[in-house]
This record gives sequence, C-alpha cells and structure tokens, in this order.
Amino acid sequence: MIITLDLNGKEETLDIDPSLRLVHLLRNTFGLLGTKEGCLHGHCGYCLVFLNDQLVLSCLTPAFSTHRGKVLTIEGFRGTPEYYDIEKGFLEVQYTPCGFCASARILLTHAILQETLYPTEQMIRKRFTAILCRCTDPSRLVEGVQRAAAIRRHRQHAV
Amino acid sequence: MPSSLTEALGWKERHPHATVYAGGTYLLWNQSGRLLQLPETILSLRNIKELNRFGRTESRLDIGATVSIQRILRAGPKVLSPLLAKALEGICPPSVTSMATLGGNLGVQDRCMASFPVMHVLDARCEIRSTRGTRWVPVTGLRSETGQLQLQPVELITRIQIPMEEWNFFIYRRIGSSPYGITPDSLVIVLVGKTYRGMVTEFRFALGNFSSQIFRNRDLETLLIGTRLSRGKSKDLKAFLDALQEELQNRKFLVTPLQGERVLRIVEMTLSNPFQFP
Repeated sequence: MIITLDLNGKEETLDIDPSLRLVHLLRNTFGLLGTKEGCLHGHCGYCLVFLNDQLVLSCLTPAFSTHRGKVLTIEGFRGTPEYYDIEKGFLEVQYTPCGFCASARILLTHAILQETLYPTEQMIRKRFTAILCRCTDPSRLVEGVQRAAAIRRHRQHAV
Repeated sequence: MPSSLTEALGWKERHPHATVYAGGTYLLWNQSGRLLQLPETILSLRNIKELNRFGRTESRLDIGATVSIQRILRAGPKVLSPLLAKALEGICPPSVTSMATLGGNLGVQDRCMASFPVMHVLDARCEIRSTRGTRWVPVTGLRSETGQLQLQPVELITRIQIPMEEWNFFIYRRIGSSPYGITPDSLVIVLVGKTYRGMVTEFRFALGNFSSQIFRNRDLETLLIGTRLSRGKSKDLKAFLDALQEELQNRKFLVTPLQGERVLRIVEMTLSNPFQFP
C-alpha cells in the first residue's frame, strides 16, 4: 500500500507491505539506525519515536498507521535547540546512557519537558519505567532530566 | 483509513467484520515475528478527530473512544478521581499508555477486566454509533452475564461518559500472577463509598474476572448503607461478608475458592479500619 508521511520534516511517499513495523521501516527502508530494535514486544522501550507529537513504540506501530502523519526520530531531533538542552543537561551531571537506550531516553526526556519544565523525581522515575535498560544510575538520570529542564527554562526565558 | 466518523461508520457497515484499529495494542501485543500478523481487513480510527476529544463538564468526563490512556491520566488529580486513575494505570504497562485507548479496552472481548468493574460502579455510559443511529448504553449493558460483548458488528463505541463524584473511600485491587496480562487467576476488586459523620451513605462493590464477567449485587450493597463502621469486624460488616461469601459460592461468577477468600479478607481489612475515612 502507498503511504505518505512527514519523516523528520521531509515528506516521503512510498509503497510498503502493510504488515511492516514502523521500526523496520525506519531502520531498513530509510536507514535511520538511531531507533533501536529491541524486544519487538513493546517491553524494552528502545524503539520509542514521536508519531504525531506522541511518543509511541515503533515496534508496536504498523508502518501504515503513519499515513498522513508526522514521524520524528532521534536523527530529526538532533540539531534542534531542544536536543542541545538535553545533551548539555546529561553531560553536566555525567549521565551517559548506553548506545541501546540513549535515543529513547533523549526522546522520552523531550516528551517530559514538553509537558512540564519542572519535572519531579517521582514523575521522572515513573515515566522512565517505559525503558527497561539498567545501564546507568537512576538517580543520575533524575538529575540529568532536571538539569536539562533548568537549561531549557533558562534558554526560553532568555529568548 | 477514514478521516471522518461518517466515513468510518460507512466502512463498518460495508465491512462489519473488519478489525477496528485505534491504539493497536490488542492487535499487536506479544507478536514476535518480524512481520506483523494482521487481519485481512482493518479499519483504522486514528485519523478521526471526533473520536479524539477529551473534555469535562461539572458533572462528568467526556472521553472519545480513541483518546489514549496517557492523555486521560495527564488530566491530573484535579480532574481524574484516584480510583479511575488506578484503573487506567492497570490497563497496560507505562510504555504503551500513549497508544492504548479506553474505548479499545472496553470494546475488546477479553481485555476489559482492568477497567470494566470501575466503569460499572461509577455508572459510566457509552455512546454507540452505526449508520443506523446512535444509542447510549450504560456500561452495564455492554456485557452479558457471561461476559460476552453486546455490540453489533456494524457498531462502534465512540464516546465514554463517566460521572464525576466525590467518594470518601475506595479500593481498586488487582490480584493474579500478571500485573497487566489477564490470566485465569486474575481478578479485580473495586469498592467505593461515601460516609457522613461516620455513617455509610452510599456503597458500591464489584468484581471483574479474566473472562470479562462482572459480579455486582445491589441488594448486597444495601446491607452496609445506613450502618456505622467501627474498628474491627462489626455485626453489619460480618453480615455483609457472610452474604458475599454465599453469593460467590452460589453464583455463576467464576472465582476460585482462594480468590474468594482473598476478596473477603481485602474487603474486611478495608472496612474494619474506618478511621482512615473522613
């Protein structure tokens, strides 16, 4: 079936197999390897991407559901001022997620900061249960997200 | 992939056995193959704005069938009662709340155990539409006594309305081996009530099991209304528990003896500690 979608700000039209998962469309068709393929069961959270401004698990999203929709992956998010807030916040507290979960954690952080620029520890810990990776210290994660929030507040206030 | 409700209803009329796709969690959950196993015909409701509305009035919440669980939860404690929030959190893991929908949970044959008992005690109702018209049904009318979904193939659940009431006490407890999956040992216990100066003025109690059956007995509920709860097992509470035990043993509601025992103990523990209630 033919679908048309906005992928990282660029309109794409292509013919796909309806049973294709979004994660495979992104990785195999478009070569966007920042979205990771983990469990394919919706448990690990590595495959999170934005679809129509909502964070979804791309392994549980059929590619056809992106028709007339907007998809944002880590590649599209990189280079934006919002990305740099998060990158700087994580670096300042020395929070370094691993290669499997980094993309998902950054996008999830962005989703949290879109909701509130004053995220509480409880909220951050609860939301990050969506990603199963145990690569880093969770308290460092909380500090990183809150530091990113502070940087974003400062930048938005300065503007 | 229709973009309006009228178009979607027309499609459903022409293809009554098409599988409805909103969040997709029921359709796609636990599929491990590289390619998804999909039904022959799918009707996607994702692009329909009318089904994605979420609002409130003074007296009720109005939730479109394709509103995600996450969006409802984000309304916060000022809008959402703690009981409803707990029930919604029990529908699916946090990672899929942005995809799962309340309409989908109620409309799927064997997945409504987490939400249905709560909708039942809160007197929620659903708007069901087809090309032939619109009807409002209480959530109680969505399922038969054996748990079968009472929805025609050409019909769609479009809205859910939940009255907003203040309750003084509630329990929402889910027991079973899986926190989100539904297994034969899964059971949901819901209990809500209002008190005034220590006296119970309203009381509702429901159980939901793995086969989407509901247990609710209004005669049983009246046993506690007008009584004064006290610390420990009062005479009225004992009468209620005895009657409940007898009902669970006699009725067609599927519950194992162990589950029945746990239900009685949980209810007893909650209601024999009234100092937690205002």
